[in-house]
Amino acid sequence: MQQMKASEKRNRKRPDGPDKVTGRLNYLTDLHFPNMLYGKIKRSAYPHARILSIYTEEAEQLPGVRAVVTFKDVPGLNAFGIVTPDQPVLCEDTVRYVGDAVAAVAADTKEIAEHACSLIAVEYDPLPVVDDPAKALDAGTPQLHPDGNLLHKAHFYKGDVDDAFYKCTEIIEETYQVPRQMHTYMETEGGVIVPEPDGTLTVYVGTQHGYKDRFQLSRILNLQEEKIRIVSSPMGGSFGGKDELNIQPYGALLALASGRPVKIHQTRQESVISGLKRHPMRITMKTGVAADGKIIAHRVDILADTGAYSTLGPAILEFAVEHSTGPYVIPNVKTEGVSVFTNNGVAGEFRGFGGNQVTFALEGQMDRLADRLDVDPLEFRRLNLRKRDEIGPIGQRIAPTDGAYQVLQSIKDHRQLKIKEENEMPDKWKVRGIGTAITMHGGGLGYGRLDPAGGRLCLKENGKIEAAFGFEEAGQGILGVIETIVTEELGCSVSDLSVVIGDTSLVPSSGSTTASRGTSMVWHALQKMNKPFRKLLIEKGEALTGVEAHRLQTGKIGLFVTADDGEEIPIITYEELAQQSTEEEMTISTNFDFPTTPDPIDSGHFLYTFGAVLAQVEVDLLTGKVKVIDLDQAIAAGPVVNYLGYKGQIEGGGVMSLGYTLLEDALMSEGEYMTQNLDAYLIPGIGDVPFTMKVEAIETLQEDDSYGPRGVGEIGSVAVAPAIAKAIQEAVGYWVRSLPVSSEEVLAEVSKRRVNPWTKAMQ
Amino acid sequence: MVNEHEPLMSGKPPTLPVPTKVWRPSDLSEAWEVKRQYGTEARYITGGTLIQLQREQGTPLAKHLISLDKINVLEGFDHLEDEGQFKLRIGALTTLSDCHRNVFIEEYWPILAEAIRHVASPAVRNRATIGGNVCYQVGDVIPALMVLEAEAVSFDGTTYLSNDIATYIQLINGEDHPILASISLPEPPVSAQVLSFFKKVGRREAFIPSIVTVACQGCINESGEVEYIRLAAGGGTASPKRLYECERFVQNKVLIEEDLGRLYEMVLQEYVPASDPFTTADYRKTVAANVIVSEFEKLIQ
Repeated sequence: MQQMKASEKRNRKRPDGPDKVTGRLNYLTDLHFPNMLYGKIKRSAYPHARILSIYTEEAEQLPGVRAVVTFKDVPGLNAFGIVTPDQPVLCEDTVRYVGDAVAAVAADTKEIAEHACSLIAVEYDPLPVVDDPAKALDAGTPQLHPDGNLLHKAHFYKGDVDDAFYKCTEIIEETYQVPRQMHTYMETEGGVIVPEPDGTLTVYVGTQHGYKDRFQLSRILNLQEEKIRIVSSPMGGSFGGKDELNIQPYGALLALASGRPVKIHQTRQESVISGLKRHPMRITMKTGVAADGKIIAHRVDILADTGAYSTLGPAILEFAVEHSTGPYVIPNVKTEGVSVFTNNGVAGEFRGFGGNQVTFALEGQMDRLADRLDVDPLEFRRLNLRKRDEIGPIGQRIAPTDGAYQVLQSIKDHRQLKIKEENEMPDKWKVRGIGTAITMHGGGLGYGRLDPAGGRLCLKENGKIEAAFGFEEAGQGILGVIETIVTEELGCSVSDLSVVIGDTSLVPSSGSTTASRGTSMVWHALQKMNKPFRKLLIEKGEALTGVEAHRLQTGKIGLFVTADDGEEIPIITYEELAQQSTEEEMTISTNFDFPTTPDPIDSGHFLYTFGAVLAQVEVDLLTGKVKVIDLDQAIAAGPVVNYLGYKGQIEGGGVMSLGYTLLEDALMSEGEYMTQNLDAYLIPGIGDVPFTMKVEAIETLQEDDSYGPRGVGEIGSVAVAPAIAKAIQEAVGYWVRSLPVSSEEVLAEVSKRRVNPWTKAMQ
Repeated sequence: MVNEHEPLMSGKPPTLPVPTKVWRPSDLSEAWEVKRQYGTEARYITGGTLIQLQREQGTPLAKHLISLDKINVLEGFDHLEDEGQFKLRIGALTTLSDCHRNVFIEEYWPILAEAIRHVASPAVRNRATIGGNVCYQVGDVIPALMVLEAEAVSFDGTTYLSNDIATYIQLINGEDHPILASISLPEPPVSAQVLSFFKKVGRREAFIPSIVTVACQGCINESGEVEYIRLAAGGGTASPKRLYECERFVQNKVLIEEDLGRLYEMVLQEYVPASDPFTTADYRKTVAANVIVSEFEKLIQ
């Protein structure tokens, strides 16, 4: 593999940037079609209830209403779910969360559709609400599904922890609680579904996996997959939240029922109520060290609240189990995870995929142990760190890597510099602290899961080289990545290129745009297609020009030869090549799978990225409020494909997790959202974010590593919370156990220490 | 067994709800008449930022909205002389942004400018009016106006009334409440040293409802005595109130360190906030007490 550096050349401005920042770009939710109707979804009035009747006549009679659908109108399987379809499209007899859909309406205007929804009378028999995951499996708790309230169990056992704890000199046991984070994409779920004259259906709705949506819709509509076209990019953010179906089935049912295009675009409140969230988890860890400072025993119990339906709950739990030892080598491990059904919304895929939750707990343990042992927390980590060729966290072989050590060393050096910085506080009521944390994060779906990827290169009639991938643009910058990789591999320029994504009628199947796989899979696809595609063009060039193939190279505008003096002589342009060729378009395509471990260990990952975070906080002693003033990260993920995109992912992931740590929680009470909009569910504003954030990219891979650049969509979000938590402890001595950090708890801790003289009067 | 609503078996064909009618009277008397005509079905509107927020939160729009935007006299600033004292009259419809940009407010009543800076976001401040913030009853500017002893001038259908801000806020609770026309700011007293602050604490740095808001306007004479003091606190859903007991405690005192503990306790007792799912009343009390006492501590150092 050629050595790549984050050079100027690899600092591409994303091609879709200007249109996005100027607001010119049309998202799929901006589309309008002639005769278009507006759809609204009537969702459950209760978090848990039996449906006794649904009365739609009144709504149907409202002038301007063109279609009303209920469970009776679902021609195929009345359920969806990426792995296990257990979520009803339209509920028939039971509702299990406040976002459950009962009916949908298409009308001439949004207002009519909305009013029609209010005219649909649903008779319910409310059932007791299962809102405490800790009680979900208790006898007597109402069963939400035929097989009970257990969604999934996962475990990893190694050695004998019980015996090992006897040999420990120090043991820390702690229970951590992490919140229900919302993806909060700027563009809420929506789009337009168009019934075509030939009986096919075009679905203009953002998703992370067009082909999967096509499959699921086909099953629901009882319509052949080939008759459904999914146009799915661009999206105004997704972060895992739009991998599962959302409004597509309702739009499709209404479009088929009315014979007219139907637009649905959820309001923020509708999005909050119906959309996925990050799994809240309660994680108990007991971790023990021997006299030499090495961790020898680690016991982990994970309880995940998956909400009402499965979606990707099992995979997320398995990911959490796999990552519960992080980049550390521990001889005796007992990790048990359980994911349970409740009436608390639906939890599912979210950037970090269970890793963020368990990393908060694990790194919290590392800091508490280091503190107990009175050693430097990074030095303590280094002592327990995995080595280059060590096997993976659940016993699987992984691609050899030094990433853990590299990021640790980098953040350690950075910390030294930070500590030396002048730190004079202008305000006597503010104190600062620095914390660090590290992590490793698996890319791809893991062993035993279908994880196909693919791509296609084609010289089109107009002379453009078309690069087609089934990946989606969700704001992460995949277009810039494709441009960079294709132009570098083929030597062509951006103007020679036409990038096509996000349309099942035009692109090959590439799997989901998830699990940090986009960049990695585009690179792999080009490794496979580059040579045969160049060969195809060059052979055609030889046939048309008579210049010998071995002298021809692909370059900017077309084929050229290099003269003895180094001058590049143009021979034939791509346009001429396409026009003079009498045959069909020249196409090379590839299909392959994401690299997996050779060991048959289910869900085990093979390619890992590493991250280390330094957070500096300023704690206000009068209010207990925490402000993050530094959030710097070192990342080892192989060569950088596009530095601006890379930095954007790490900084963006960092800020998203800053919100997770300090602000964000979709609070629920008895199955109802307390935070129904962005006035109560708080994401960070620019004032809550450090003025600058540093991103150190460690690009070196092992010499024999043939897997190229890894994706960085998630890694920047994983280890932020524990770094901030440690910084708070450094500042005021308070060990955070629950996220988001409560200013009230911090203040109570500060007050206990009686830092202000006047509270003495209270004693 | 629960019916989400009564089955609609009236036999009449369903129709859309009647859309809200917007009235745009050209003077206050006309506005008053429209309100009298439609009573609780009508609501005054100016910038509309709060009504829009409440609408998103599920409060249906009133059937009649009486927009005051054509009543030009309600907008802008006037300088008045009253018994040798300088006064600034601010029309109720003056936007928060315009108030924030006003050089006199910045110079003579800086805590009002500071309070305005903390209201919502720039886009909201460009539409939201100072009168609207007062009529919100828990607006961020209210504690500042209270300690500045601002006067609310309102129109009750026949005459103009003049009240202090706290009294006017109480009047809003009644039906047929007078329409806020303007707010007058008297020149604040001066002495050897001015003690003036406005602090808002929210769950986020900006664009956030307050957990605790405190405002203070006072002055200290040459011998270090608190000569004049006005202190108010609000936050959350609790209406801002003057802290009269605390004021009395510091009035005419040369504060010493021991007084701070007593003041701290008095704030805890006098300030009565409410809890919500995010913040307890106890936390709000502690924060209010901490913030206030830390400012008074500066007088001692």
